[in-house]
Amino acid sequence: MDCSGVGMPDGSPRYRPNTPKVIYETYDDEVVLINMDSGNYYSLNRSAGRAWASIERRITAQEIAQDLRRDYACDGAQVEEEVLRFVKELCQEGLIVPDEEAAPASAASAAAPAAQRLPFDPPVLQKFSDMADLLLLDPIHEVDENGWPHQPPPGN
Amino acid sequence: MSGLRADPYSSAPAASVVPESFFETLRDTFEQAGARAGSSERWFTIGGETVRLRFAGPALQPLIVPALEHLAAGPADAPALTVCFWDSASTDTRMPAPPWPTTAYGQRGEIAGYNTERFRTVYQHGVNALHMFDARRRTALYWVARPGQIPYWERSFPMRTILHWWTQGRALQLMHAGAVGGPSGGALIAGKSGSGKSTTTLACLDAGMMYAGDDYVLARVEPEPLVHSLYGTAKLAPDNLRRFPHLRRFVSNPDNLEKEKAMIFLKDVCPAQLARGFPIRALLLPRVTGLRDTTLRCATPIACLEALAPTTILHLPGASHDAFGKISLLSRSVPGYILDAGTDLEQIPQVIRRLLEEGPS
Repeated sequence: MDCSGVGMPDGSPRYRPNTPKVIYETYDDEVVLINMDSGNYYSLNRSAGRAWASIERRITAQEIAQDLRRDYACDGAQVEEEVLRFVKELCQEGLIVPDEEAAPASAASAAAPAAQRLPFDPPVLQKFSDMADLLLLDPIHEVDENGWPHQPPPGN
Repeated sequence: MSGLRADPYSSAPAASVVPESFFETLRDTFEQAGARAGSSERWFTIGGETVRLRFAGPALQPLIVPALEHLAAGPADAPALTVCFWDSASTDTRMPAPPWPTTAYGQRGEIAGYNTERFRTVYQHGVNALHMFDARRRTALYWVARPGQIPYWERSFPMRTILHWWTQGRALQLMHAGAVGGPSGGALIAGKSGSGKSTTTLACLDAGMMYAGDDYVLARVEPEPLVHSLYGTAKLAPDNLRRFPHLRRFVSNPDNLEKEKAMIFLKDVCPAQLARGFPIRALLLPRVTGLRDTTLRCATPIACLEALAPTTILHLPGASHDAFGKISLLSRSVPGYILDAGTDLEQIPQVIRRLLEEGPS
């Protein structure tokens, strides 16, 4: 996955969730994601979940940082740095991809009043790899005389 | 990761034979196997509906049926699902060659070009079994080359992939979870291998509670969450048998415990405690603490989703948004608790019973 474009201030790519290879469910700003290609799964904390909701709107990393600044009481530079790191991590894990179609982003929600802004927790992508061994990673080469494969069992 | 593998859900054809033609060819092969080696059928109530299992030859029935025996039912005019089982070796029937190339096998054995809205096809790794399902006719095919290649774990939850396909698009979902309960309803016990699922369910069984499964169950997620039992089996790590010594004589695979979990068919142990199902009152996430006492604490819906969804979805070929959505709905509609399971096993059913009968303290 080419994630080199993440963080460029001008002309940086818009991203979208890498569906259908990645499936996810959101509850109360937290997200559980499954990468069906790798067998890895992930959880996002609240600020990461809010950033993910912004990614669903197909916007750039800089625009995601702007969204988070509306919700959190924080230093703008710190948010931008954390968001760039987070978006790059999502990209490297294959959870998001550059949005080739560059669909126009829908509007962000209104900014929270300053007094209601939450303290900023950096977005965290927690990764779990314990089920990746269920997948057949190698292509099938051995078949019987009728053409049917005979593979050893995966982890079960 | 290989680049030599086709996308199993791609609409691009991977072979010259369309799914419907190959399904018909295989169904004819099954009928030929039955004509040659004799046929039989058994009926069951699964998820509240009637399911017919047809067998060509006598070899597979003893491998498939024992896990389902507690759900046995009489014949019905129109089964909700028919599954046809056969093997080539014992029926002396040649299996047609696969019409797809070796690059057509997906990471979970899904066959590219043979997974459509109507048909589902997987070659199950490890079992080396072909499963094919026609959703329109609610008929599935289950073939293996030789009966002996069906591993013990497949006998503990036979045809789980077919049952998963059958429930797609409906309010039922196969879930990687156990379930125990009582008169007022029960608890779904979720978690991956090693989390304490089997210890929890067997401790509850020992205390006289009803049992609907320790590994896979069928959950109805709406309107009221219900669990339906699928498999009357229990599997536990051999070193865990010391906690349940009275079960040792019921272990069905005592000679293979160096490489297999101990598998027990509970119809032989406590048939009256095998429930067909009950309402789901709680979702429990067991944790092994090493401490003596067992306690409960609240779990968020997202923690329940994380415990239940990946382990269910990643084990099932073709599971995706539909399954994730149903598991998410259940996680939001049933209160969740982390069960810090202690070493004093008698406390585990006491804590669960109290929760089910009196609610959270």
